[in-house]
Amino acid sequence: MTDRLLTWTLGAATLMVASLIAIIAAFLLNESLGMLNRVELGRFFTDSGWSPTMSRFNILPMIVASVLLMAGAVIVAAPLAIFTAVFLRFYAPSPVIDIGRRIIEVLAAMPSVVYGLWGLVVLVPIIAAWQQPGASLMAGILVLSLMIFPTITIVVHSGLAAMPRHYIEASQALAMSRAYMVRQVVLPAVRASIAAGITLGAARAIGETMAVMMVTGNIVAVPGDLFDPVRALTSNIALEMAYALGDHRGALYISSLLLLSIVILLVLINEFIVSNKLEH
Amino acid sequence: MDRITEATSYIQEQDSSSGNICLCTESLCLSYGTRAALENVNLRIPSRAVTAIIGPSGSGKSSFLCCLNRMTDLCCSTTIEGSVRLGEHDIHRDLGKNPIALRRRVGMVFQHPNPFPFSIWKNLALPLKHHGVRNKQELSSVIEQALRRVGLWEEVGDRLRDSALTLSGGQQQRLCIARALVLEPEVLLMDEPCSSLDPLSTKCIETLIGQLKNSYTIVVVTHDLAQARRVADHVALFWNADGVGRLIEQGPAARVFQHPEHELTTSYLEGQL
Amino acid sequence: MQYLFDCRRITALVFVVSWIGFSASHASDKLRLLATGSSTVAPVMAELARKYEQAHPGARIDVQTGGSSRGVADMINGLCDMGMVSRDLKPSERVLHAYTIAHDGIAVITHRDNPVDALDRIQLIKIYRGEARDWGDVGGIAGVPVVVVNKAAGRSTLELFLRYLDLAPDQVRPDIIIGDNQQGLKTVAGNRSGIGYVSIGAALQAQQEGVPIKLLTLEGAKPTIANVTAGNYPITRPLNIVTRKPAQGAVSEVLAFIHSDEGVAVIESLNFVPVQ
Repeated sequence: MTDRLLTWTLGAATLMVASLIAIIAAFLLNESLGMLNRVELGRFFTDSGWSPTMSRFNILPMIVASVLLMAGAVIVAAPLAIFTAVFLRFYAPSPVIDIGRRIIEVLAAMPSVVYGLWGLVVLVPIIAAWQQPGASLMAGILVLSLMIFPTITIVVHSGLAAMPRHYIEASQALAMSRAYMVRQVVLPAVRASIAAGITLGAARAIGETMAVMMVTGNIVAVPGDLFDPVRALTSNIALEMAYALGDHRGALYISSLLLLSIVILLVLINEFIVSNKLEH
Repeated sequence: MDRITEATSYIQEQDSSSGNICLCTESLCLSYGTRAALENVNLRIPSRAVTAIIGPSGSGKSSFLCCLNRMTDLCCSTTIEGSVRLGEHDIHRDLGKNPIALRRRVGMVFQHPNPFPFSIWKNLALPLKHHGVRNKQELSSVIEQALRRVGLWEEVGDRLRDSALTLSGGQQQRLCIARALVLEPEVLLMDEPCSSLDPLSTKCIETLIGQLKNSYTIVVVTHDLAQARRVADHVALFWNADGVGRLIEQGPAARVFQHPEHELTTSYLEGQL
Repeated sequence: MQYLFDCRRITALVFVVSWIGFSASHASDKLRLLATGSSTVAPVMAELARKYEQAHPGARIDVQTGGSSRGVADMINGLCDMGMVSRDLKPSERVLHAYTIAHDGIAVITHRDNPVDALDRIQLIKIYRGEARDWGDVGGIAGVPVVVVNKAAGRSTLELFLRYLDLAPDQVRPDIIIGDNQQGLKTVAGNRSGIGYVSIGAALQAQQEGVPIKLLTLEGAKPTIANVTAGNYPITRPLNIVTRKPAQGAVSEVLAFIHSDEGVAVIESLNFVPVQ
């Protein structure tokens, strides 16, 4: 009886979440379709620039910016996060483990605006002293790295903690050094957790709005180097949605739809990596 | 308690017909934190023979086995007193902080088959690569040899790239034995290696143990007396006395099974306890 | 791990959904007004709202920012009770009713350590068109690049500033685009070669709080409250509250409060010029 009740409750909750996501997707599609009937899709990538009030809808620079920000943040944060998780699980003395985990949990729970503010007041001036104007792709990548680092660390650490102990016993009995065990056995064995952590981190990075808007300079242009300012798709929506009307609004809905598609793509890639368990 | 003290005195007069002693423990005591697990174990393990460690659950058989290759180091709160000698060396004092050299000489097979979640090939290649075998051809030949020795080559030789987890339980256990053997250890410790296997696989492993004892010293923990009778050359019986594991009798298998000296052994073999 | 992830999501969603339900059920209890729009008007409105709520227990005024265009759009769509707009209404917006609550100007700001103290309109045009890329071109230290900070589209500060310079939005060559006044102030405070423009009230307020910025003299006029009041400063603007119908009921009470002595004191304390 209890089991049936639980099944129904969980089923209902799952259904609710699934339908909410479906409703959001349907809403975005609906808002975008009207726009797509009037403006052909190709124009979003080939128009001469982004001035929606003058009917120019090129969002390509912002897609490039969002993807670069996400990729950069993952490249910086993922190795650090994996190192930290391994250190906390296999190397750190126990007082350090407790403190380390607390710090990482606090970092993970910190509102993104705090990271953004820190980036704006501390990081951007430091970069500006080196390469003007400071607010740049680089600043965005660093702030995002800091934000997704704890996310990835926590997921990988749970993966390490949940890893069957007998892998460690087997490695030890085979006279493996700790470093070799971590490299050759542990990390490959928790690939699924690493993939999940990176996916979660990447999704957070590409969806982040406030922190990115505060530190990237928000210039709509494909960056020539790391120190050029960029505008992410999310920042664009936040900066313009409040007053956008008509086709302008439609273009912003299309960029939201695009963001959703990128996140879905990330999840699918993760699924592919996890299901494709065997190496070689 | 008295009976137990009596029994340990037997060690001194043990027959030496078994040839060279490969591993021996002297006054070995093990405790987890403040809880004692083993007390005063003096066991001699002869070379190139199968020593079966038998006894009821909780008598410290597996803990004892873990002392022999220092798997006890994995729990940070263990303390060990007394000594374990492998040939000339005291494994705790002479081999220093790093047990890697010891574990190369003393391999281990666990109760549950524990292949890594990788391919069959990689399971065997990992320990080899770590210990310096990088040449692809050499790897292949050592791996083939190891698989042939455990009788797996005929079964899986054509699908080495498949996941080890797709093998049956018995095959996995034989793979784990092969994996332990690629490092050419002197001693092979086996902790209830058949307890999670079906009778056919059990028979297969037992036959394998019979073949391996010509090249290796084998210590096998088992709670299956019939198995001990089938495979063992020497037998050691552990007993749980007041929560602490002790060795109460040891000797050649035939002698222990036919003329047990300790009355607890007699009743245990008769299945009264 | 997948499991934990799902669990968290579900918990968060349940929480959000129930919170929405909870707040919806309480919305109609008491007098409650929503003001949205200009980030220049917002701090004034927030402070006025606090004083008003103290004087009228049970009343509640929520203030949200997003730029003057949002104030206009929200009011047209019926999403708020008071639209905050920091400029005159455009001809197309004349269907709305505007109530001026204060006057403000737009100050050109640099970092405190920048030796340039004054600029004229021509120099500003050169800077914002990207023709003067070096502070040496406009009387500052040669070799220091000018970092042009511009406001995002849809912000009235941008529209007024560009109208003053007689520039179209796509003629401007910005290095950084910012959203609200606070981001503009922090950006310029953090960059010694930066130049930007914000509400005079907000800039003076920040300067009083120790933010390292400098307000430049523009065409010989200092950006001070006195100059705005006297009409001597070149870029001034009204801060308006807009409504769809002529103000009535609670909204007109709030407007009356804003024009009372207490309201005027609040406006002056935030460095804006009250309407007498």
